[in-house]
Amino acid sequence: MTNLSIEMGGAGRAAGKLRRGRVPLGVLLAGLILTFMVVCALAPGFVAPYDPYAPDLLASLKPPSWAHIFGTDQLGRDIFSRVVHGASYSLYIGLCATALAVAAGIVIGLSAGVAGGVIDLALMRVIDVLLAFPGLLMSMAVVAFLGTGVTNILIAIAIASIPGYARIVRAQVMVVRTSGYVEAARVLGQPPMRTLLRHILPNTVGPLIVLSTLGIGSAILQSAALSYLGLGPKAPTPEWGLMLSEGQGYLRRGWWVGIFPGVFATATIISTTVLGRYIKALTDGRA
Amino acid sequence: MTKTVARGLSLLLCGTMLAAVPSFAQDAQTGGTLRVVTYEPLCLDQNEGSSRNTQTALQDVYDRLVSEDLEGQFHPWIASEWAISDDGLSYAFTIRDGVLFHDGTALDAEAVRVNLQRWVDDKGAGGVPVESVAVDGNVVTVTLKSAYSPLLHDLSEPVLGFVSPASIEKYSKEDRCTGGPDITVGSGPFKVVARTSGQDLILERNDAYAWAPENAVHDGAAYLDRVELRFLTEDAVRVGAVESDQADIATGIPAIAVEDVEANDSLTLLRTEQPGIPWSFWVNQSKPALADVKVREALRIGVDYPSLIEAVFLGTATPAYSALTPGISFGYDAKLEGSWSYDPAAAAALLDEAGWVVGSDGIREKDGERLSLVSLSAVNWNNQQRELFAQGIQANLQQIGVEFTREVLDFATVDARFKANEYDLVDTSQSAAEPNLLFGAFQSEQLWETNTNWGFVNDPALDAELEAALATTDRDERIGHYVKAQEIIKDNAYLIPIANPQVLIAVNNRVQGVTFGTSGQVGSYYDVWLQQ
Repeated sequence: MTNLSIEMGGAGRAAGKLRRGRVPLGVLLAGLILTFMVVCALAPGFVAPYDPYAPDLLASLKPPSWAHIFGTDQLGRDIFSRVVHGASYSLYIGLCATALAVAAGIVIGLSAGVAGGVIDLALMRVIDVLLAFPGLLMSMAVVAFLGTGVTNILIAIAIASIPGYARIVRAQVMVVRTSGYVEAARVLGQPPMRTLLRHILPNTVGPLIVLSTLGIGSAILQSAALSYLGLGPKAPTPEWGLMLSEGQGYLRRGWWVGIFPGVFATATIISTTVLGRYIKALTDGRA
Repeated sequence: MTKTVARGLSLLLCGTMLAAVPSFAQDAQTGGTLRVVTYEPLCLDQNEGSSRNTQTALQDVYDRLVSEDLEGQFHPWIASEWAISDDGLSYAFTIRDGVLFHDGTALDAEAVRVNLQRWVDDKGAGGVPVESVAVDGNVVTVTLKSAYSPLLHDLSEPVLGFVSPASIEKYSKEDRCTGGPDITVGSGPFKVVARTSGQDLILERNDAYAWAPENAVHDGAAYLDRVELRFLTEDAVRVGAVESDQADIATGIPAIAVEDVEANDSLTLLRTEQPGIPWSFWVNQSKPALADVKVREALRIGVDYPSLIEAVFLGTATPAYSALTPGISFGYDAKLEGSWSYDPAAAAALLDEAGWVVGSDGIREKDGERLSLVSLSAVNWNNQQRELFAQGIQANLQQIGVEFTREVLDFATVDARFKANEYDLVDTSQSAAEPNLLFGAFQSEQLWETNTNWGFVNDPALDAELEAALATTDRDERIGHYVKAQEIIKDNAYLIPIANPQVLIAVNNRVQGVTFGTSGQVGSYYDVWLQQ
C-alpha cells in the first residue's frame, strides 16, 4: 500500500505496451505459472506421479532423477508430488485470507468514511494502532491466541491485512463522497443507503480489487512463513513452508529437500505480484 | 554384553587419547580455556530439577560421596570408605577430612547429612526407601527401610552433588535454580564465576582442590584454567560453532552432521551407546484398545522400525528389542535381539483377531470406536530425527488401519495430560547406568505421580522380579532378575522399543582426555587438558 507511488512509473509503460496489443513475456510466464499452480491445487492427483505421504525407505534422500524429478526426502517420499500437493494449501490460504481481509476492510472503511465524525475517528485510531504492528508479528500473535492449523493461520493473516485495506477504502470514500455524481444523487433525494450501495461502493471497490491481487502474493508468503515457524499445518502435511523448515537441516546432504518447496513458493508469489501489477497498470491506463 | 560395551568404550577412548596414553600423566599440560557448546541445565540446584544436560554442566561444580566408573565399580570420593551391614539396611560412610566448599565452609559429615536429608525431604529420596540419615563424628549413616542394592549408584549420580548448606540457607529456591557466583556453591574442581541465564555458565579452576575421586587420572587441581559453557539449542548452530573453531566441544550432534564432523580433520566424533531405556512407546493399558496384547503386538510388528532407523538415524542408532539398551552397565539381555520383525500382514491379522475391522475411511473400528492413537512427548525429549521418524510410523500404521498422531508439547502441558490420563502412548527414552530404571518405569505402584509407569503396567510376576533385584547386592543374581524382567516386558509387549540411541559429541583434536560419564553424558572436565 505504501509503494503505491513507486508503481506509478511502471504503470504507464505497461499500459503503453498494452495499447500496442502485446502482453509482456514476463506477464505471460507469470500467467502460465499461476495456471499450473491452479491445476496443481485443483487436481493434484492429475499432476503428481506419487502419493505425497507414502514413504519408500529404499529410496530415501535420492537426488533428482527421471524417476523422481525433484528427488526424494529422507523417508523416500517424492518431493515433486509433495510440492504439487502443497499448492492447494498456499493458494487456498492466500485467496481466502485476502478475500476475508478485503471484505472486512470494506465494511470498516465504508463505515468510517461515510459516518465520519467520532465513529471515523475511533475506527481510524484503532486501525492506526494495528498498522503499527508488522504484519507477520500481528499474525503470530493471533495464531498464539487461536492455536495452530490451516484455518487459524488463514484468519490470522486476514486480520493482519485488514488495516491496510480499511485505510484505502476510507480514503477512496472520502474522494467519492464529494464527487459530482454523489452530490447529484443526494440532491435528487436518493435515500442514503441507496447512495451508499449504488454510487459510493462501486466506485470505491474497483481499485481495491486490483490492489488485492497484489495482496494475495504477500498472503501466500505469510502463510509459508507461519508454517515455517511451525504455526501452520502439522507434519506430514505437504505445506511449502513446513517442507522448507524440514529441509533446512539437510541442505548439505540433500539440497533438493528444501530448495524445491522454496522455488515453488517463490515462483507463485512473484507470479501473483507480476500479474497483480499488470492488472493494476491496465486499469490505471484506462482511467 | 557388558564386556563388549566396555571394549567399545575403551576403543573410543583409545581413539581420542592414543597419542597421549603412554605417558599421559606427564604429558598433560596445565592452562587454557575449554569452550563447550551444549544445552542449558534445567536448574543449577539439581535437587530442584535435573536432567542429563544439567549433569554435563554441573558435575564439576559439585562433588559426590562415591564415584562410579564405567564398569559399575565404586571408588572413594568425599567418603574415604564405607561399610554396608550384612542385612543391606545400613550404610556407614566415613567422610574425608579437609574438604572445603568454594565459599570456604567445610564439607564435613554434617554438611553431607544436610544434603542427604534435603534429598529425602524434597524428593522422597527419588524412590529410595530411606529410613533415616544420622551423623556420628565423621561418619554418616544412611538407614534403609528395606534393602536397596543400587544405593551406591544413586549416591554417585551427579544429581546428588553436595551444595554448601550456607548457600541453601541464604538463597531462595528460585535464586539457586538460576544460579551464579556465590549462589551455586559446591566443592568441585571448578567454581562458578559468571552466569547469564539462557546464555552461559563460566567456570574457573578451584586451586584448593585436593579431593579428587580415587578413579580420576590425576590428583590436585584441574588442568584447565576455565571452562566456558554456552547454551545453544539449535543443533546446526552447535555443529557450526565447533566446526568453525568457536568451540572445542559440542554435545548433541545430529545424525545428519555426523559425516561432516567425521570428515573434518581437526575434529573427532565421540560416540557411545546411551545407557538406560531405549527410545520407546510406553503403551497405556488403561485404554481398552491397548489393554489387548494383540493390539500392542500389532503396533510392534506393524512398523518397519529397522528400515526407518537406517533412513532417519543414518547409523547413529540401532533397532531395539529390549526394555534396556546395550549401553546399560549390566543386565542387558542380548538374546532378545531380533525377537520380532516387520510383518504388516501378521499385524493386520492380529488386529482382525482382536475384533478391529477396517471402516469406510480405512481406519479400523470396534463397537463404533476408531483405532486412533495419540502419542505424547515433551519438547525437551524430542529432536528433529524423532519428528521425522514419527511420520514414517504414521504412514506404516495407516497401512494396517491404525490412525497415529504424535503431539510434542511443553513439559507443563504434557504433565497435565499425563495426570488426566489423556494419552494412548508416550514416546521417550530414559538414561541411567543402573537397570533399576525398570523399577520406576514398570513396577505397578510407580505411576506418574511418583515415577514413570505411564503404561499402568500391573503384573505381579514383573513386580516380583524388580523387587527381588533390589533386595540383593549380588551382581549375578541381580542380572538374572533383570533378564527375566526384560523377557516379561517383551512377552507382554508392555513397552514397544523403537531405537537404541547413541550419544554423539564433537571434540576438537587439541582437547585431550574427554570421556563419557556413567549415564552417557560428557564426563568430568577434571582430567581434561588442552594441547597448546
